[in-house]
Amino acid sequence: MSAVNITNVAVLDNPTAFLNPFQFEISYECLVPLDDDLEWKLIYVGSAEDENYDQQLESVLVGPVNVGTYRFVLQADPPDPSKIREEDIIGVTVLLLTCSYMGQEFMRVGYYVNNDYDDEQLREEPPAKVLIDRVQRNILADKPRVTKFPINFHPEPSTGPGQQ
Amino acid sequence: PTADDVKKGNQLSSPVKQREYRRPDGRKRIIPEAVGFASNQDNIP
Repeated sequence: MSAVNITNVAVLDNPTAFLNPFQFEISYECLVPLDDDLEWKLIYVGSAEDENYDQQLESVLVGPVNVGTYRFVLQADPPDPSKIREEDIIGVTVLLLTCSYMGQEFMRVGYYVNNDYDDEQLREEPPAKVLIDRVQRNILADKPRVTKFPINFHPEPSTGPGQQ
Repeated sequence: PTADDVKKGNQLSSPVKQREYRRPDGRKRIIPEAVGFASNQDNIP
């Protein structure tokens, strides 16, 4: 059984403009006290074909981790559009929300994200160069893909990350 | 959690009371809002 269970993730301010910050309200419960903080990351997948276009939007430590239930809001800047290929900005991509403890990722939530113009005419006849100010981001919040990984929440000092 | 757990709420119930600061190493740290006991915690002596 995991020492930490994520009980709810609410996507806030969605849909919104592409350049607006991401906001997630995250609730979790901790069943045993932990020595170290949890690390939450938000990653924007800029290209389905090449992970070099992934952008880590935020990495934040959350703690102290004592027994109880907690919530917090994770806010992150939008991806840098100059680091995304023009042809990959409009369309469907993926956003990853991960949680790790002492370097061991134990939960990953994946969301599909649809980026499209806010105007029907622009959607039908998209300009050659992307008008980023007119792009709207829609996180498909009701279809998260949740993956959990077993980790050791109380590693011995001599054991490395990922060992049970 | 299941996907249902994660998606079940998409609205703020109330403003979250959390604190944020930068550690000396520059890392951002959030002290979350405590909202109660863990669901399976036996809190009765």
